[in-house]
Amino acid sequence: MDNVEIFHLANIRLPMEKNRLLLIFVGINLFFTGIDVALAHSINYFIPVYEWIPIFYFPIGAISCFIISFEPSPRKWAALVHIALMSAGILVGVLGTAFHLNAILNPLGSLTWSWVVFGSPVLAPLAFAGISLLGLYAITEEVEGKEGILRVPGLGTFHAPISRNRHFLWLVGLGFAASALTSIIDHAQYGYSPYKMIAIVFGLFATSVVITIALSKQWTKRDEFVYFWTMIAAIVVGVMGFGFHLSADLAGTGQLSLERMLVFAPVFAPLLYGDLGMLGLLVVAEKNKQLTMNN
Amino acid sequence: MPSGLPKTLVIGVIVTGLFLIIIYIFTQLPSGGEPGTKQVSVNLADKCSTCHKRVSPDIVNQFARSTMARSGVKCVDCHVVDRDNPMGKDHEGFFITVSPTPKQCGKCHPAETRQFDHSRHGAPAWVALNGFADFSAEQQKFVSDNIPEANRGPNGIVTATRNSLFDIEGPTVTPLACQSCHAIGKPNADGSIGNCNKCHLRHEFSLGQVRKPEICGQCHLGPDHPQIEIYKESAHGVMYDTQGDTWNWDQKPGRLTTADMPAPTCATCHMSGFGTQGTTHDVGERLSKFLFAAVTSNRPNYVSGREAMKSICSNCHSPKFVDDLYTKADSVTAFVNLKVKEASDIINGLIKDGVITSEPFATQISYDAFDLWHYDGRTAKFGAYMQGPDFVQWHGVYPLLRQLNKVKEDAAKLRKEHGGKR
Repeated sequence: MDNVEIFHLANIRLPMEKNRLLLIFVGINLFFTGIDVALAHSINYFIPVYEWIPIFYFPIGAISCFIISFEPSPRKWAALVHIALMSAGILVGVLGTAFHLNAILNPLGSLTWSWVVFGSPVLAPLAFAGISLLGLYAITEEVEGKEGILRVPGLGTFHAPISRNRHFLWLVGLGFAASALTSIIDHAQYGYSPYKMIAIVFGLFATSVVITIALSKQWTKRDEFVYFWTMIAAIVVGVMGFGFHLSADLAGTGQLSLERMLVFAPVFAPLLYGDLGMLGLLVVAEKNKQLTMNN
Repeated sequence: MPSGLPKTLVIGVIVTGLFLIIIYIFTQLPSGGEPGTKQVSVNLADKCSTCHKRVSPDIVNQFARSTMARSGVKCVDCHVVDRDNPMGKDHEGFFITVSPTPKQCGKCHPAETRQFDHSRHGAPAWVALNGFADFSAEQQKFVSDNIPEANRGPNGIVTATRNSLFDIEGPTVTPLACQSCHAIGKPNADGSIGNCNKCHLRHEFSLGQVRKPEICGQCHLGPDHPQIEIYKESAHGVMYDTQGDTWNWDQKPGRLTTADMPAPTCATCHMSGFGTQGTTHDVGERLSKFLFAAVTSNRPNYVSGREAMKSICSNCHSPKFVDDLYTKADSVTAFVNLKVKEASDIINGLIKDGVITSEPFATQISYDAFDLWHYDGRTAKFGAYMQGPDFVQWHGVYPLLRQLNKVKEDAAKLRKEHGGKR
């Protein structure tokens, strides 16, 4: 159990130590993202061989996170394997983006907006990269009193340009940015209606808030208040979006068709906002001590 | 920065506002072209198009407009086959088939070809002409295993209704007649069955085209199965004729809603992913009765087929409306069945008593009895389920009754000529 406070606004009791919770969070995310990718790639019947890459990767990456999370002090070899797997996850994400981009370019290499909007989602594979990067940072610990000096279990320390917490904030912020951009592109398919704009407006706002905090040397309690409630709103918007997408897939019939789930509104996609909201709260949760306001 | 307001809020609002303005500006710009309207280019940069741009340029132009070309599919992907393919031949350094079969299409469209193989557009379409004569043992086994009603044997419906006219008219006529349509299920030398081209016209393979009723109307027309005529009479057909130019024909499979197509076409009801139903190339999946048969019986998938079709109807119609239609159409079918059985009993009686030969289409009365179910009976049944009242009445039941009367009168005359045997 870990008693933590979030920006002096909430005290919660985490079921386990924060770092372990982060690793489990990464593992669960890898798992569900992998399932989502498997469903999406099933549209092409997995005929292109490279569409198997994320499907082979995600269970291995997820298992590594779960194993490491239950090791209070992971051994050197375990840490190395985990780092290698998370690095592979980053590569899978970047490669996936390259593949998706290649897929929407017509054979002559030019781009049209129709293919950007209706083709394979270019930014979606970066979810693997972001989650894996999070998994990479999650096994590190910041040396007490020395911001930016990160200790990797069994491997020593390395000097990062910014503090560990800011790394996490940047990941959350960029996660919101990618989700917002994906939402802008995907919702362009059939025109922007008011409820589709919720995801876009909120995504842009959340991105700005988080990155502002990540960039700031100082922030006020009111900024903390805005950040906190933005993360709560992210969870709400995510669940709402899930409901909207599910409603679209039900097509007013009360029955799910697998085909509609695969090609129409992606049911799990909006939950990414909720995911980022929870992560955003977790990364700023500290063990009942004053969160330093200076970098 | 306004005093008292947190910078995160101020920056958040400003940045969000700026991006929304940018998004709005983008939405006002021209789209830059839609898939299918912009040619990929005739310079597809492969050996095939280099020559065929001169030899058969429109094939290259058509393909260049296709979504397949934009997806990176090239000529060789469909036309080049293995050396052991009996349908292949050497051509300019490649070993190709002139006419790709479902074996080639199935490389990228396995689900579609599998569904097609299980349907009556597949093997049963050809078996109806020539039985199993053109099928290899392996193909026959596949058909028997996968299409229950296509089994050979005394109770096999397809065999039982195989049309003897095919033999009578012979190879002089049938290639341009029956075979043109029924070849949709013709066995191919490479082991596959059928021809995807019958509906997916090459080389543009347009989604919009294949959704329009005219594509089905190539074959589903005429006195023996006037589906296109019935459709055009129906309210659905009228909506298509009067408003179809505003529909979204190129909506991606699986995303169709009534917003794209306010009224159905053949494809919508029978094949498209719509409402709760996923896309299928098994055209019998949503059917419940063998309407084509002389005496209609239930299909093996009667319950699921009917429920599936009703779920399509329910996108626009109330359950009561749909159930009412089915009840009434079933009644028409039962009526037709009775009359056809009556005619069939008369003919069978004449054969049994030696008044006429059992050879099909050897006597005028056998032609009349054939017309009775093949033209009039089927027209009435199709008209009932597809809401074409004139086809139920004046092209269906009325001529059926008139024909039955003629059969009865001719049977009496024939018996009298044969010494009055009953």
